[in-house]
Amino acid sequence: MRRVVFIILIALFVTSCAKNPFSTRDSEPPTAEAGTFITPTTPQIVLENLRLCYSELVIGNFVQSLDSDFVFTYDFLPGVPTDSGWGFKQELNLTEKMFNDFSATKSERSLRVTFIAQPGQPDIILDSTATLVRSYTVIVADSSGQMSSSYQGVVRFEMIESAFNFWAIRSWSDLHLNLDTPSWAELKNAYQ
Amino acid sequence: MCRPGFVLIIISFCCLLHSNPALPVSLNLSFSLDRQTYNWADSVSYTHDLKPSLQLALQNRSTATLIKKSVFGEGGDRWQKTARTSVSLIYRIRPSFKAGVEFSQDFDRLEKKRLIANRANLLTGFEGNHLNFSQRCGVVWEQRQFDPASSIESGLGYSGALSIKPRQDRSLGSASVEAQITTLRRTPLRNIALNYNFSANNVHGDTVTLDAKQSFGERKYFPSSGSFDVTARQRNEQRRWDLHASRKLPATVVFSASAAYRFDKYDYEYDPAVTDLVRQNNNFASLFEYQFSLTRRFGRVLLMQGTYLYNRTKEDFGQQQTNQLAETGQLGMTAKMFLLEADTIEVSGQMGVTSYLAPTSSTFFADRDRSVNVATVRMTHRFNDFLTGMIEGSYRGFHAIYISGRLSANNNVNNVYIFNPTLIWRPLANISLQQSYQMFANYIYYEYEKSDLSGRNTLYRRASVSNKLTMTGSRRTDFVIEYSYRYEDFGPLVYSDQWQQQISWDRRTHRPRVGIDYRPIAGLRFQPYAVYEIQRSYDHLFDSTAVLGRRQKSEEFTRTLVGFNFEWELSNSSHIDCTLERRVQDYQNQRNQEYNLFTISIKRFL
Repeated sequence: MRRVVFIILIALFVTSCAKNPFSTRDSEPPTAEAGTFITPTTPQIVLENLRLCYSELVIGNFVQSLDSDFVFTYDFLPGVPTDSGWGFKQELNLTEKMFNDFSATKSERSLRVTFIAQPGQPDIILDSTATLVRSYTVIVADSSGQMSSSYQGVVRFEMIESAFNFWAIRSWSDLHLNLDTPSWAELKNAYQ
Repeated sequence: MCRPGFVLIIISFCCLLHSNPALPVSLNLSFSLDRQTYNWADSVSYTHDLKPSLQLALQNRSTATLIKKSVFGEGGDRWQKTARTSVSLIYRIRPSFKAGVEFSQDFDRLEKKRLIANRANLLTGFEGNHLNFSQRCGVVWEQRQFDPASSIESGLGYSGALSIKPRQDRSLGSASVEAQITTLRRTPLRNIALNYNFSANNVHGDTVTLDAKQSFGERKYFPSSGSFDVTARQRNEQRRWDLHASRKLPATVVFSASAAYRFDKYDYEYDPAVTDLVRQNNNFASLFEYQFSLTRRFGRVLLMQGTYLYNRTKEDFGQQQTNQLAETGQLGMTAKMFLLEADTIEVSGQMGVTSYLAPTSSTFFADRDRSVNVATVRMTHRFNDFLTGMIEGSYRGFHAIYISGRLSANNNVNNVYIFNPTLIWRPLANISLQQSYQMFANYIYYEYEKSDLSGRNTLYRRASVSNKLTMTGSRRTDFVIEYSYRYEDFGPLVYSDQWQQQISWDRRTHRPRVGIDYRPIAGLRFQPYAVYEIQRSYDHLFDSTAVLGRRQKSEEFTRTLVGFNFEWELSNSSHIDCTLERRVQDYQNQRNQEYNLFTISIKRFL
């Protein structure tokens, strides 16, 4: 009798709080052009995809640029005394919020990223790992294209090519250009 | 510029070799150099019993990073340093009770930004059979500087922990309370955390464990760099619940279940002068997850397992466009078969759907489903004592579905197929040969562009072969010769009844490597190696009449790596590691790039 009650309780629990692992929802027919995603067969293409998904605000393309063991680290953040970074899930969550926020006000403002290679920092691409250092500018512009705020710094990407995947970012280290200019980490942290 | 690092290493090395092993000291030194970045991570701790009941302890932990100015263009070299130093003197008044004093300093510096925090505390601690407590109370002095502004504060500080274990065998579990308070005038801090954990098991192997934690905190802080005029207040609440149970059912079936709940809430209050840029919204996030699994073993031949996982996360930021809800349902099956002593087959599969739900309707961008299907087959066959073969085949399929018409043009299917056979030969006692092959194919197609000649529907293929020959020259020396070859091609797909590929480019890489693993004495290991790599890329050019493209070399890249790894285990507690690598690489039409990578770490524990 106890066993039957136990099984019924579990069945009730599962049916009241479960999700079907076989069915997906239908989508609406497209009303806009698709975003751009280039198959990342080299580490440099990952950065191009990153740049494109920030301007096109396609979270699915952003996810494909990150490895599942991804970590983001920064040199400092105002008002955040102890932590020094976060992992894959937090990065995905905060970027999704950022993209949703900019999508909701797309007619009023836009997001743009520019990477510039560092002269003394050639890309190191080994068999299945790579290190790329870039200086960057992230610009938030209003509807007329005028810059309303900008974030600048130097970023060091450690990438890997996994057996099941293409090149993806394993580690993203953000450094402020100087202490007075906000960095990418500050933009991300606003969506934490 | 790396001179201070080398001096530190030499001094540390001398200390390591000449320190008195009778003193309980722990030393950890690490230095690495990678082009313009220098990293130091060091720690030392020392304890000394002045009398049987009086103990002196010293501890220092520091990290430093130097980034050369070329990384920041016009800026200068950048140093970032952090350190924590503490000294304590503890007197054991009774076997279960101790008291003492502690002085500590935290130091954090990045260019003109600096934090120094000094603490002087009285310590007490009690260790009983059912009850333990420890506490620190004293004064805190903090100096923050961001040239030219600065802030100095002082106040009282208290931290304490009390744990209770009603029964020695923990049959009623154990509970603890931790609290931390500092009464600095402008940046006070208050935290309290309650913990409870319980575990029980019986002779049949049935188990149940419970971990629960609830914490509350409140702090004030300076939200902006370079300004100490305004403060912000943060209040937080966290809940953590983890439950796990497993039970043996009839017919040797094992049922296990686990559930987790997480809740995080943050509320903020800002001075009116704080700019919007650094303001954060009040928010909360919760997660609920459970997993059931059934496992059954059929004798020694077959093991089967089925699992179901459900996960629900909710985040509320007070703004419609940033709120999120995600639900995952995932079903998994694994079967492991041991046919004969020499054969093993393992089959596993997993399928799941994650739905990301916008709070109101599909007009929001990120409202989407993601379906994942994974299947893996592994087979091992031992032909004889000299030859073992393994085959692994995998499939992984992703399907991304955006619900909103504004993004549904991105709906795509991404299928990956991998076939990976490996052979391990041991023809002689001192020779082994490992050969592995991998074939990889990745198909990506967009649902709404399936019938078009779209550059976005693509096929990427990769095939590689790797041979590794290990020859044991003597008990102390192994010679390793490796050669790997990799072929890749990529191009768009056209769909007419079936997918067809048009190759856009291909790339071929040859990579021979030679190395020696030399162990002259016990504990010492020296591994020099050399690698040469050549990669040629070709574009495939099509004209109006050609069916197959014309190959044209687009790039050639060569690289030489020379380096060594050095490991010296002086004793069970002392260890030195060192790696040095020099890389020279040459891209067609670019000048040679040469750089060095150097790391050293020294550890000693007693």
